[in-house]
Amino acid sequence: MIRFIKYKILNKKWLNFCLLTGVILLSAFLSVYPMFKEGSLNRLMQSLFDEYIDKNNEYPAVMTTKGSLTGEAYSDVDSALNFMNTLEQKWTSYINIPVIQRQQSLEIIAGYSDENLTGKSKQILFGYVDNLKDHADLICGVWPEDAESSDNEMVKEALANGAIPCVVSQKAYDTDEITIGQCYHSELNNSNDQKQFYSVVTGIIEENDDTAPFWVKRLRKYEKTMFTDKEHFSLLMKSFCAGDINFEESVMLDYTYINYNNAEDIYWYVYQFQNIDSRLSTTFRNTLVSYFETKKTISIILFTFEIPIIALLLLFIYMISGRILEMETGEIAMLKSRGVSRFKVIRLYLLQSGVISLAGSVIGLPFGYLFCKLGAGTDAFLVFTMKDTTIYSPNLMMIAFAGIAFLLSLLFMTIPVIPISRYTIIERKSKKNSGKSKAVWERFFLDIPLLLLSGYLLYNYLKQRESISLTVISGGQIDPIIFLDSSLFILGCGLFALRILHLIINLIYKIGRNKWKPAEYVAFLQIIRSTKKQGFIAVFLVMTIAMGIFNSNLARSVNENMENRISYNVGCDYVLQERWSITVKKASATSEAFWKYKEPDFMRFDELKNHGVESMTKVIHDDMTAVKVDSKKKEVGCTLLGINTKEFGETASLKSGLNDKHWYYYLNDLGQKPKGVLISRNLADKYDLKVGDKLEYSRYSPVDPNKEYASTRSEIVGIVDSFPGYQSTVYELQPDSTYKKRENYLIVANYNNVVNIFSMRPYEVWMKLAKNADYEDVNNFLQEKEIRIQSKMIREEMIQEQRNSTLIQITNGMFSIGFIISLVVCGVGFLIYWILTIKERELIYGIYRSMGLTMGEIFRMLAIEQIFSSFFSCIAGFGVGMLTTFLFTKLISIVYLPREHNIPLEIIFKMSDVTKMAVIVGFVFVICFIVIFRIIKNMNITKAIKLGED
Amino acid sequence: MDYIIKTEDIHKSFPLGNHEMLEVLKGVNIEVPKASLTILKGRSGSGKTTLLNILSMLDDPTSGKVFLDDRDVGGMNTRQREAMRRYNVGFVFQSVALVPIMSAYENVDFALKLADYKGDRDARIKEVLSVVGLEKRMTHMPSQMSGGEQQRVAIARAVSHKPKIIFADEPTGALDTATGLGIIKLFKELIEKEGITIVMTTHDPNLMVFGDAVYEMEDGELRYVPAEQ
Repeated sequence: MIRFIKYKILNKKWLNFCLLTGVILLSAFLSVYPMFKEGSLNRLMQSLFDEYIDKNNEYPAVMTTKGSLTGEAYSDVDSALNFMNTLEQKWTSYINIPVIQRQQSLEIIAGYSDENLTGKSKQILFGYVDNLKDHADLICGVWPEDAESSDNEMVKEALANGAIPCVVSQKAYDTDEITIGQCYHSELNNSNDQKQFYSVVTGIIEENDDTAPFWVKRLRKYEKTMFTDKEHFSLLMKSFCAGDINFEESVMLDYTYINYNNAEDIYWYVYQFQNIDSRLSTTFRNTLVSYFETKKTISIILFTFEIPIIALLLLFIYMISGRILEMETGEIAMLKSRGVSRFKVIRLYLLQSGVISLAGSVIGLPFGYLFCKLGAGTDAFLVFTMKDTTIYSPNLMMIAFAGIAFLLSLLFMTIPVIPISRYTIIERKSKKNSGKSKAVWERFFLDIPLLLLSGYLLYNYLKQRESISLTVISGGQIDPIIFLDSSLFILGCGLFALRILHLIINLIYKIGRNKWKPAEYVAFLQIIRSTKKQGFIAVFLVMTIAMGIFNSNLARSVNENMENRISYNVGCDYVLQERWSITVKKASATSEAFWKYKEPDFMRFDELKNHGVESMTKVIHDDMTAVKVDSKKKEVGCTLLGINTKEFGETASLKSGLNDKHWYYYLNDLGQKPKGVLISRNLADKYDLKVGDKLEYSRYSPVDPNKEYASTRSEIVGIVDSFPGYQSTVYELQPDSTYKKRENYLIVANYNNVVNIFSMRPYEVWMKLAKNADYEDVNNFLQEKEIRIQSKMIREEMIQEQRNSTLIQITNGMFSIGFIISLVVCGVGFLIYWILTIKERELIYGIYRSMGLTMGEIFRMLAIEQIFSSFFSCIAGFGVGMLTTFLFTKLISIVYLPREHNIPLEIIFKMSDVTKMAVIVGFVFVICFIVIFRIIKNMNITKAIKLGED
Repeated sequence: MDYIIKTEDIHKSFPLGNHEMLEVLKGVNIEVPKASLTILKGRSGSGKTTLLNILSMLDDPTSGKVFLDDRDVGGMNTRQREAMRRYNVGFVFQSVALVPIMSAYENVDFALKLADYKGDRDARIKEVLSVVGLEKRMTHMPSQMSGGEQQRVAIARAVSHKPKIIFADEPTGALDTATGLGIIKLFKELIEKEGITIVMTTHDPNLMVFGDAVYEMEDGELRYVPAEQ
């Protein structure tokens, strides 16, 4: 049996090689799924953590609990630390993630204590933070451990009187005016007695690196705490052991270890810990929740991207297997006629298919790995880069998916055997003679319901566009049919186009029936009479090209629109905001606070002009400005931009065509009226405002967000639709975790006027980089100069991040891999189909030649056949792809660009993409033609006739 | 007497693969008169199909000359040979060589188109198909016809453009005796009505009586067989 199977496989080695190629591609493409999914989700997880850091400026994976310790067991710091370490061990025994830092703090409430210098009473706490000295620097004074060496006379005196040495934070120094040398007299009460303590401030401290994970709770949050050393805090604990000692334990987990494989376990362990300890909180629970929500979407999208290609591959396997069987029908019928049972025939083919399926599935695995790496390295459709893809690593699930490929290919290879194995040689002949000339889909008009269904779904989805976009923004699950609908449409429309194509060819043939020369006559009849056979190849061509065109246009539209929107939102190449210090003073608890920002030296940035910065400008940006049109009409939460018009024009950028006229005209109008403002179109429309009208705008106090600080009345000098950095629609999170769309209004005023009216407040520095300049040079400069950055937006970095974002990566990667696979399938299918067809036609060509048809006429005949079948199928594929682009890009883009934006979605179609595809398809065609040409050229007429007779 | 074909000492050898040659035709000389039925008989492998291929310009002799309608075939280029086959020659093969994607009507029409037939093609197609008795099956595809019917379509196609000569390689080989006889009678009618010359090979002894001239191939040599034999 094995030898017979080996003989059968080798007998049709090229066809079986094609079959093997199909199974390899199927196994590879299926096994890409688990690897790509895991890699993408790991990347998603890391990006969510990074996003958390950017948004909150704190470490993203912290478990914190707090409580109080009472009793004799906790009479010193070490016993308390032991208790906290036990807690940590319990957590990490379940959550197996390395701990990179921990902040363990203890506090004793000292209550109101009298201060010696002013005699005022202040509420203070005694605190101990383990390893504080390693993470904080002294601004002035000495650490409690070194208090004896203090040269401050007041400190010396207090220490001599037995005071406990303490340090305080910069915040306590700034706001509570606690300073070195101050002594506090506190009375600590426990249930038994009352003890008196003296403490003295020996130093002021600040974080040595406030971005370090250790500072999950920053020093400014300990504004009333006086930190002492272990020895003194133990003394306090000993005296106070019967009372409550507050502890707080924060464990910083290495979030790079939280991944696709352990995320769910970690979530459930945390959930269970929280059920036991209600004070346990984590900073990563919400990150995990949003990861789980996106995970569902990612899985669905990835799967829906796989379906059309898998369908194409299964069709390919079915076609090749059918072709092999077609050539072996005589053999099978002979076996049947000789009494071999149907079961034995099926078993024989099952074994043969099993061998090919197994080999293909195994070989497919390393190809799956390669495809995944290739897809993960894409930057756009068919743009492969050498970027780091180590996050994508092979996993065991790939074997399971290769197993699925094995079963599917086995099934699709064996299905065609079942009907064929039914007939004896006589039945086969009569069956052959009654053969239908049209394919099943053409006979039963399957293209029409497919088209109608996809059209209906498209209409419905477009009607629900608003709600779908809000679902996407809220991180809700996406209906996978949105993606599948386009594939359904391509299939329906592709088949319909082929039906029309057949009708056109029939019409052309009939019109010139009596006039066609022999070559044309035969060619037309050949196309018309073998549509069923050629149908498969035509469907492959239409589907591959249509999907390629659509995917490339969709990917390009999504990529470019996203990049345009990022560029618009940032407004220039680099925006940064420095951290400013503010001094707040209050005369009394009820009096109004006086505040003053200290502006860092802007001249430091001048040096950046030597680091690739072409121009820069200060921009005041406030998203909480209020606008009043009259006493009754007030809008809050508007965006105010304070700009120097000339510098701003030189630095910022705006896509052309978004306003009625070039935006420089608006800047000129504003520049000419120091107290004028530009406003957004939506504000003008809402209140029927026009140029020359006046409106009032006000800003709130930085220390009291409910208190209006100042306001001014200005004349409107221009109305803009779009402006660098301004989005006219914003989405706000609602209490039920959904998002609501809101109009955002803009006022652009002159920088000097804004400063004059609203005082100097933190501004953004907008920069334009010179051509070929690298933003990393700016980053390095900021780091070198130790400039403390509150926030920054770098256009190029954001675009790169976007390209690497999970959804875009999946789209670019899967579309590119899918296209390559469908092209290979199409090329191999096309080549095999034509080689076999030419071989089959050897007798007929021999007859033509014997009848006097010249070689030139035979090639002309083939050329016409190719033009009307293959070339027209390619054209139909292109047409279907373009039609799908125009109908579906807006729908599918909702998933990628759900937010309404000043830059409307633009469907981008680049001729270079079509050229690229045409070159690839053309290359496959040329190879096919060379092979066909060689076969025909080497054909010997008499031999061909003889062959035919055999 | 007018001869349409004359040969001079035709030899044909095929390489055997081990640097040896197999001589299939060993100096064949034949003269085929116009408007006659010439039969080549012989056992399988005797070289009759090879001779037919050479006479019909489908193959070249290793040496010797073939004159077709007084023209030396060896002196013709490919284009001239193709034109000669296209306009002046018709073929009927042993296995019915109809174009499977064409109906009976279209198969004949194709031959007429090839020969650039100047008359009323439709009328001619119907005429030749009615001569072979298939006027009612014109729209049928080859797969819908029996072997004999297909062979008759092949004959109709071969004669449709009024060639000077028809080469038929075992035209009755795949047919039963009665159908075979019918085909030969049809040939005789065509010779009479259209003045066509037919050269055919066969090994069926029953058909010899119909030949105007009968030749026998034996070991690569051709021998004229007188009528009384």
